[in-house]
Amino acid sequence: MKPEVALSVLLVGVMIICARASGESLNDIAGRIPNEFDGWRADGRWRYYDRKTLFQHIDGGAELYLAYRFKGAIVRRYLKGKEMEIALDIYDMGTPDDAFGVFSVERLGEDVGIGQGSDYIEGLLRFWKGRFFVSILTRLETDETKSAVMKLGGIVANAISETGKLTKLISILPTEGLKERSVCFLRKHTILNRIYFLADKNILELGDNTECVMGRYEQGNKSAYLLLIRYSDARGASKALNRFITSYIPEAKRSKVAKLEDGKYVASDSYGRFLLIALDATTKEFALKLIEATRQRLKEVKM
Amino acid sequence: MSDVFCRSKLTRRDFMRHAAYAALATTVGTEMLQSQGSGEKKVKVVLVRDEEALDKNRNPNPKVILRMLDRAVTELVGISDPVEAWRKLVNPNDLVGIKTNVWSYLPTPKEVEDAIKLRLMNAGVSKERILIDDRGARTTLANCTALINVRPLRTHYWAGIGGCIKNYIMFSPNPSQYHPDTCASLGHIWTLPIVKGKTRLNILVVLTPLFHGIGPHHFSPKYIWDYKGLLVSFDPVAVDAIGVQLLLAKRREFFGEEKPLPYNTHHIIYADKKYGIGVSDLSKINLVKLGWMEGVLI
Repeated sequence: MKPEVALSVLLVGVMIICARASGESLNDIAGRIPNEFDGWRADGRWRYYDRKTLFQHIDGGAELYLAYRFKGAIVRRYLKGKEMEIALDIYDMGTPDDAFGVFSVERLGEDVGIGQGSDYIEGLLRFWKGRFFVSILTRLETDETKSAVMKLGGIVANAISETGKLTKLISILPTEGLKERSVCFLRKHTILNRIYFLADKNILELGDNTECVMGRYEQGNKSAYLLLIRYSDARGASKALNRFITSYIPEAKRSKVAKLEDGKYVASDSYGRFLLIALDATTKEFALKLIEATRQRLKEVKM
Repeated sequence: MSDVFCRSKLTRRDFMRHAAYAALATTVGTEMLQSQGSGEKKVKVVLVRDEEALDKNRNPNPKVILRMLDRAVTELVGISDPVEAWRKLVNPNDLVGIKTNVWSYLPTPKEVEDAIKLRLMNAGVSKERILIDDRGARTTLANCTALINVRPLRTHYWAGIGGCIKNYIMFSPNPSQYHPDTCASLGHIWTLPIVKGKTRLNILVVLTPLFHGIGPHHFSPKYIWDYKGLLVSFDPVAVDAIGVQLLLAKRREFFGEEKPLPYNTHHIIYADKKYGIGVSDLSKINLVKLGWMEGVLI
């Protein structure tokens, strides 16, 4: 973080007023979080970052948030003694899906039951609740700092009063063999590439108005990824399917399934405004089975 | 060079078809570095290590650092006298900029900066004509006629690694424009007039590399180790490609299994194949190892 980036409380106030339109604001949440707890003291005021300034706080890492509907973030440090420090970041992601999305693409560690989904590993607590994503980090992990991170996590989770409902798209993923913690939500190809590099260009035509869920499947010795994308209309899905096949599996124009150079299979199909892709499948049958099961789910569930 | 990487579109399948490059993006052994039987001219990267490089508090020993730098530069340039070797890199009329790195948790050590400055002065560059900066490089080093690029090796949340290629991002008027697609286009910075053709030496400091981390602010003393080395090359891409191998090897040793870097390092491949600023193919890199060999890993 660049020290000169510390913006004034006044600016926080102005920006937060702008964000008020959709439920509770970052300012509301900040007001419910104490300056001190268990001997830990806040180091100065909250700093605010928006879509233009976030990279000054987390450098290239800002791209992760900007690939979702990120609105703004408030940040502060808590200190205890000379050595111990905790960094608290609260991100307004615009929607619960986007808050879950940021959380979902980097799941690590153990679920610690904070917010609507959480994990903790080596001094880093991450959770989401409502449309907010929260990161609490101590670089020097001890029993004392870990305990403080958890305590602060609980405080922040309580300070966020709203909860969020996730997209029904997740419920479409077939449950058999699905590794629950692998499920993630994304909108843009830059994030897809982070999870599973497909192509440097946006061959699936993903963007602000697409919604994607991805999950890992393992059944016995069979495995695959399933990517399910919702476009704004059937034409968009059909166009994306054609581009995907042309760009990635041109040999599968008719069969819609191809064996790749690594011996694994890719299958794809569209259903209304949805595009379904099985990737990295260990067998052709498993790839096709996943596609078919997803089609069935789409038929069963009204979207 | 395979023209596939010059295409406008690059897919996962392209990487599958060109395993040497895929290696950089995911995981690989070091066998490619050792299979150097052909007569093809290779890019040289010098690794020098010294057991005495750090004291028990991980402070670099200035004399040892200077000795290591001398060994690396003389080997790279092919002249046995260090000062003469540096005279091949710079001349007294040069305005020399040392592009350092000030990241608070793992900055370029002052001892390394001082060793570079000393040898530049020995080579005839006056103290007043040696500038050093990181964040303000775009302004302060803009008029330099020669650049020395020096920074520590670390894992990076978005670019996969922080290496010599990425160290020039502060020369860009808009650093954030290089962030999309996990910093794929970092090599482009090296084509900007402010730096193009000016770099005389790349030094990737591997005294205490950071080999693992979680989250955008990651740093933990638990994930650095006393490697006590410097990687030096004329080629920023080759030195970073070796840096990736070192981090992968350490991760393999530490975690007891293949542990690919969680974030794509494809900016190294693009720097080679798209921007043409160096060599990323491990089979075309000659890694020369000098000094302390215990725990060398690569």
